[in-house]
Amino acid sequence: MTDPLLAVEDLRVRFRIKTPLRALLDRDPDPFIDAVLNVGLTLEKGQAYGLVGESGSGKTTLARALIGLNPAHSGSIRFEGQELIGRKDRQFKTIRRNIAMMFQDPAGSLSPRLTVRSLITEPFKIHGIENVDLKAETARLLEMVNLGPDIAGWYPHQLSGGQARRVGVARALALNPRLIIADEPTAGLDVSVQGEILNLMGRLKRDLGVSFLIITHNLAVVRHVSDRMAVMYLGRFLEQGPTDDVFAHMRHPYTHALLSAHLNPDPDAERVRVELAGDVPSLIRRPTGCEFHTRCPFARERCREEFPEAAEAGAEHTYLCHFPLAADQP
Amino acid sequence: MSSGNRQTGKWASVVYSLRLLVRDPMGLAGLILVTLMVGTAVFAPYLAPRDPFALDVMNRLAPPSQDHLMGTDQMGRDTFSRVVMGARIALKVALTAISLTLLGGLVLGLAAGYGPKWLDNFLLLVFDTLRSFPTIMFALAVVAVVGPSLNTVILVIVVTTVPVYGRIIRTQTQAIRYNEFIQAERAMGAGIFRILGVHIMPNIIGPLLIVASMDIPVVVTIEAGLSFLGLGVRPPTPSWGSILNDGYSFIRNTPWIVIAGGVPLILTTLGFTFLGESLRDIFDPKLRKDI
Repeated sequence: MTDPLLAVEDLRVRFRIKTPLRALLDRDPDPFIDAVLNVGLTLEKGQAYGLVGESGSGKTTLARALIGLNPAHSGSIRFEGQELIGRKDRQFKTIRRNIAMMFQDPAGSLSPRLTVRSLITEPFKIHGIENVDLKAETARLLEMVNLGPDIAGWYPHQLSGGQARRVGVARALALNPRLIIADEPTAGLDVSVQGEILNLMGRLKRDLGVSFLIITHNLAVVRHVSDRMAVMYLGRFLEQGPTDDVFAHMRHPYTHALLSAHLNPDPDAERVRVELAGDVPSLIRRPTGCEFHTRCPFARERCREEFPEAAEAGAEHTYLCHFPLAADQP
Repeated sequence: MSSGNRQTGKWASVVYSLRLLVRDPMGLAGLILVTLMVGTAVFAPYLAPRDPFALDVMNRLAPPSQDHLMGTDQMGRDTFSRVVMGARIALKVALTAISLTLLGGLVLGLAAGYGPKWLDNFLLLVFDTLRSFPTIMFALAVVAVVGPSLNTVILVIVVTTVPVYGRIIRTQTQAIRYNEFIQAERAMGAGIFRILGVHIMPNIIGPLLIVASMDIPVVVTIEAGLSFLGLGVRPPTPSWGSILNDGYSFIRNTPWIVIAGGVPLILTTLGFTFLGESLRDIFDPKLRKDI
């Protein structure tokens, strides 16, 4: 069997929250928080993986760790068989050529003093690729994302949100990466533009065999484009599996809560709403037992004390819950 | 954004800014004074009617006349010619000192703002230490060691002003470094020099140039002050400061020398300050009147 494009195992990303001196004074033996914990995922070529979760659940941290913008503490990230953990910033350069990232803020991720042409051709300059006609490349990439050629002379502040997002996509595509990490690719766009972006991503996946890791809190996006998905909470995957299977047979109450919070355009549709009380707990003081028990409507005594083992619910579909929802529930 | 703005290139915006500058009375005054000063400095040898070093002992401390537009000093040298040549010294010191300061401030400020925390702390300590020397005290110390000269003046100015620029640049760099476009550049594999040179520097250099243009008069006065105290350029080189110093000694005999040395100093200071303030208003969109 060949290596998957991306294989992550037991990944842990920690951040220091106190200076060493402060920690010593407070007698705090562990002045860190785990922003990503025990995460494992496999992504095959030409597939899309969806990451969902509330703000602060560690989705973006996980993505940034994959390309070395946040240092991973332990675990393993293998991209095309190469181990990425333990590399220095410089050793990520070739990796960053093959994994492109689209950031959350479409206009904010474009260097404000550069024209669209310079922005799109930036990857060529960074990686010292000189035997290309930059003008032709600009035209090719702009066409790929359905933007007119005269936009090449514009500056980021002159672009609309949708245009800026597409420039971001064009830039990500410049060096034919094998994986694109898309952080909230539809945030801040109106529905029609969202649709265009998603269709564009679907086309790239199909035609060019590009893989996607999509980070979003919009379940419709995940359902629309991703083959596999994971639900993140406090840095862990609470439930993961093939998208269709997770949607059809969700086992974790949190997945259900996320889905039921999502509006359904059909007013007659029957809905079982699961409402969550309270806020996401602090990473500094993780809850005991099942970390979701503070907000879970079905929590029982056992949940407060015992951390749930990963359980299987079909092919490659796993979840962390003592009292999963019945398999045939919505 | 208006669609009319979309097609404008870099040159069009430069022309537009110039037009705004000329329309602002303060900016126009500044532009004229600065042009006058720079023009005088550049064409000094052609403008000076006499040799600024030629002694004429019979004609000491003469009042203004057709022969000597601003009179003569205690050795009978033509004050007007000395003032014109003094513009060269003033401009030379100002431009060299300010460019070296900008360069030094950029290197240290970018290092402090983008580098690791310990480097930031160390550089801030250096900046604060340098800032805590009074300029004159520092100048006296340096002169005592290496002797007075034009280069000493420049050195003193650069060392005492680099911390100011360094701090501004450090703060600006820190404000930009966590922006998403810097993260995006890193994610594409851009190295530190590309990020600093192509993505951070262009975003901080504009306001900085304006601060620099407003600092030129300060530098001119420091040079004049040091020369006045005898710590700057060596006689007989004409500098506005040394002309003032000469005039000061003979102010009971004739006021003309002090006036001749002081007026260009005042006009230069005003010119650069006006220009700097007007430019700042134009480039700071929040202060701009036309939008």
